[in-house]
Parts: sequence; structure tokens; C-alpha cells
Amino acid sequence: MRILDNMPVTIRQTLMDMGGITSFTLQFSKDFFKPPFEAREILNQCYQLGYRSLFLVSIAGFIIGMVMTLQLRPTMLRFGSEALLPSMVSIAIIREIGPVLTALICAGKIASGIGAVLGSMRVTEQIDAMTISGANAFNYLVVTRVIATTLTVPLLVFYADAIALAGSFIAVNLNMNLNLTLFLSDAVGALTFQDVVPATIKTFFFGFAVGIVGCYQGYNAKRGTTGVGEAANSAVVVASLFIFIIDLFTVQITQLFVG
Amino acid sequence: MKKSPEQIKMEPVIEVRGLKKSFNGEAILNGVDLKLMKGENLVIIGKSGSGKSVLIKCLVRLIEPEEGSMKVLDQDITKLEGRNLNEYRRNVGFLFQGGALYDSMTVRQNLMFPLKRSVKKMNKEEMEERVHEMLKNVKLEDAIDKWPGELSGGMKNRIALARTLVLQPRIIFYDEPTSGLDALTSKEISNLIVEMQENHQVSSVIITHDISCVKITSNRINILKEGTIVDEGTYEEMSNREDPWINAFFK
Ligand SMILES: Nc1ncnc2c1ncn2[C@@H]1O[C@H](COP(=O)(O)OP(=O)(O)OP(=O)(O)O)[C@@H](O)[C@H]1O
Ligand SMILES: [Mg+2]
Repeated sequence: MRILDNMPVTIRQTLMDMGGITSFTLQFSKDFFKPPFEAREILNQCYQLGYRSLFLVSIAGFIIGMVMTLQLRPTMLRFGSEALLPSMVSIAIIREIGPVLTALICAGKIASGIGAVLGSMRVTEQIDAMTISGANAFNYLVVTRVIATTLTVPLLVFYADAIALAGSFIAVNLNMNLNLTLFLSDAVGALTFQDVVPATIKTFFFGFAVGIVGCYQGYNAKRGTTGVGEAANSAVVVASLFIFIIDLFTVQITQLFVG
Repeated sequence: MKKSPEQIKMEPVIEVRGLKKSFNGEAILNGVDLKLMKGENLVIIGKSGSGKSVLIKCLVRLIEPEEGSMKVLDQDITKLEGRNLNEYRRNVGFLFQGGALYDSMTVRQNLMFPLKRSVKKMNKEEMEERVHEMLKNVKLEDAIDKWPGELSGGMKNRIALARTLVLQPRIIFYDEPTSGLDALTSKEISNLIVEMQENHQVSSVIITHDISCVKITSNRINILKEGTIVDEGTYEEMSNREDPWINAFFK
């Protein structure tokens, strides 16, 4: 423990979080199979989490799609390849911008929300009350939320991708006339297996990370009201960090398999 | 009326010996011995931070003690795990300091939650009936569709009490059931505790600073100081102790 003591606080905290999250994930995989299966609560969480992020995801997706198109246009023009603009934007959005942007928004909105809710339940002893009533609090509170984020974040990414393409379509039409059918055949036609599949798979991991980190921070919130704020805050920081790490790994692994 | 000494059987439902617990190297409980008889109301008094909450949390295994034995309802609960632990917890109720109502659920859902998750034999109508019965006990049937955020402090305490009773526990731990309430409401809660003792044959451990609550509910009082039980007796005995430290509680 000597080494731990001499480290800067942030690094030490991050390391301790990593350890904690690992055992938390193990607990998750154990309790995942334990009855009861709280289907209603999962659906409720999916609805709540998705609904609450929809507005921000829409705005962000739309504007990013537009801005990217407008920014790329001059460069493409210089190379005389303006016609490739829809394909170019589409690949960038589907592979990278859509998933990462959405996941980061979810880290800010969903992970912190979960951290705050579970944190205040911990601090006001609601989690203890559940445990004592003979219910499996971990199952009811954590397993349901992690399943919900793992399913919801990919849906939000899919939605954000679509909105971003819509933004791009409008931006393209500011400068030239391209009908929707042609735009879509360019945008979708450019996508290959290796653009779509790894990008889709990673969104599930993003969703899982958002859920597990938010739950971990909230479930283990420190006593006292400051614990709630800290839980929400570190949920955002650690979840964002995880998203970048997962993103990096996805690129590496994808290149390993498909070159 | 609370039970007279003759009405309480000398049959212990809780027997604690040498309970020890420390946090960050600081001993909070340092060898606590404690007994609760069947049908008895035992009040524990001690300064804020003396470990009263820690003590009763050990007894429901929310906190793991480092040493000592705990025998409750004729079984050793120190090593209970998994299903057996849940089974045990269903026989005991715990009223948290501040109520700990689930604030994402209505009053009805708060009371339904333990029923749905631990009593397999009940059907929906029976559960509804039980919820209404419990709310009637605490005289808050009208609040059934309210959210915890809409309730006053006293109402919250009473709803929390109803939720504690919904599984019909045989032993109840009350952690400051009347804290933050006016004298009148606090008296109502104290009377409810006595009613529970009379009508449902429950045995209770009550933690409180509220001397009127002690007077109304207690059959016996234990004093917790520096990690051990230093004195015990009835309300009459304790309020006449010479020791100024003890006397201060009864002013
Ligand atoms: N989970 C915990 N982690 C660390 N310290 C704890 C924990 N629970 C209790 N303590 C410490 O143990 C001591 C006793 O706490 P406890 O809540 O039992 O006091 P109390 O007698 O119930 O006081 P009060 O009357 O104010 O409720 C306090 O110093 C508290 O900081
Ligand atoms: Mg306390």
C-alpha cells in the first residue's frame, strides 16, 4: 500500500475505482442470473433513460452532421471530389462520431443521473431498507439499470446517426441540389461490413460502461450529502474515460481482424 | 397500556455477547452484552455517535461485527448467508432514522415492495388488503397514492412504520422513531409502538433521545457508553439514578 500512498490523489482514486468496478462487474454477472427477473423495472428504466437523453442527442446529432458537412466541403472541393461528400460524412458519423458523441452525452446525462439517484438512495438508507425487506437490492437497482443502458445506448446511437445524416443532407443542399434518394444511396452505399459491425458492437460496450460506472459510484456513495454530488461527478469522469478506452480498443481489435 | 413487568416472559428473543466493531481503528462497540425478552420494549440510550445505530445494524447484518455472538429467535445469526439470511430478515423489522421511504415509489408501492418480493403465498387482493390494514394502523389511509416528497416528516415516519410492519415481523428495531417531530406527533408514534407490542406480540429495541417516548414505551432501559452497556433498569429506576451523566438524559 506504500506505493498507493505516494501517488497523486487522482491516479490513486482512478486505480481504486478500477478495482472496485471490476468486482462490481463480477457481482453483476452473478446476480444477472438470479431470480426474480425484474422485466417491468428494466422497461421502465429504458424508457426513462432514453426519453431523458433524446432531446440533447437530437440537437447534438443534427448540428454535428451539419457542421461536419460544411467544414469538409471546402477541402473536398479543393480535391475536386465534392461528390464524395455524403459518403465521407456518413462513414465518419457511423464509425466514430455518432457512437462516441452519443456515448459521451449519455455519460454526462445517464451515468451522472444514475450516480445521483443511487447515491441519494444509499445516503438516505433506502438501499439498506430494501436489503432488509428481504429483496435483492443489487438485482432491483443495479442489474436492471445496467441492462437498460446496455440496450438503450445503442438505440440512441442509431437514432443519433440518422439525425446526423439528416443534418448532413440539409447542409449538402445549402450548396447544391441533391435529392434524398441520391444522398442516401451515396451515404449508405459507402458503408461496408467493417464500418458498421464493429461500430455497432462497441455501442453495447459503451452502454454497459455508462450503466456499470454510474451504478458503482452511486451504490458506493460515501455517507453524508456530499457523497451524492461526488458520486454523480465521478460517474461522468470515469464513464467518459471508459468510453475513450473502449473506443481505442475497438479500433485496435478491428484492425487485427480485418486489417 | 404498555405491558407490566409480570406480563413479559423471561424468554430471550435476542442474546448478544461481547459484540465488537470499530471503524478506521476507532472502537465504536467494545464488548456489548444485551438481552431482549419476548414481548418486551427495550430502550437504548446513549450520546449521539455512541454507536446505537451501529449496534442494531449489526443485529440485522447490515454491518458485520468483528467479534461477539448474536443469537436471535433461537438461531445464531452471525454466520447466516444468502437465503437463510433473507429468511431471518423477514422476521425482523427495521425503522430507519428518517424513514428511508423509497422516493421513486408512491406510498402504496412502498408498502407493496416488501410484500411482492418476499411473501410468495399472497395474491394481489390479499396484498392490497394488507397494505390498507397497515395504513389504517397508522391512520394514514388517505395518503396511499401520495409520493414521499409530498408527505410531512411525521407522516413519513408513520408510513415508514407501516412499511416496517407490513411483513408482520416478530422483532422490530426502531432507530429514533420520533426524531424531528413535535411533542404531539411524537406521542402518537410512541403510542403506536405500544399498540404494536400489545396487539401483535412483537418485541422491540427502541433507540431514542426523546424522553417522553422512553416513558411511554420502555419496559427496560439500557445505557450505551463508550462501547458497552454500562447500566440498565426501568424508567422509574433510571430517572432516579444519582449519576449525573445518566441523570442528564432524563431532564
Ligand atoms: N459505515 C460506517 N463507516 C464508518 N464509520 C461509521 C459507519 N457507521 C457508523 N460509523 C461511525 O460510528 C460512530 C457511531 O455511529 P452511530 O450512527 O451508531 O451513532 P448513533 O449512536 O446512532 O448516533 P445518533 O444518535 O447521532 O444517531 C460514528 O462515529 C460514526 O461516524
Ligand atoms: Mg443513529
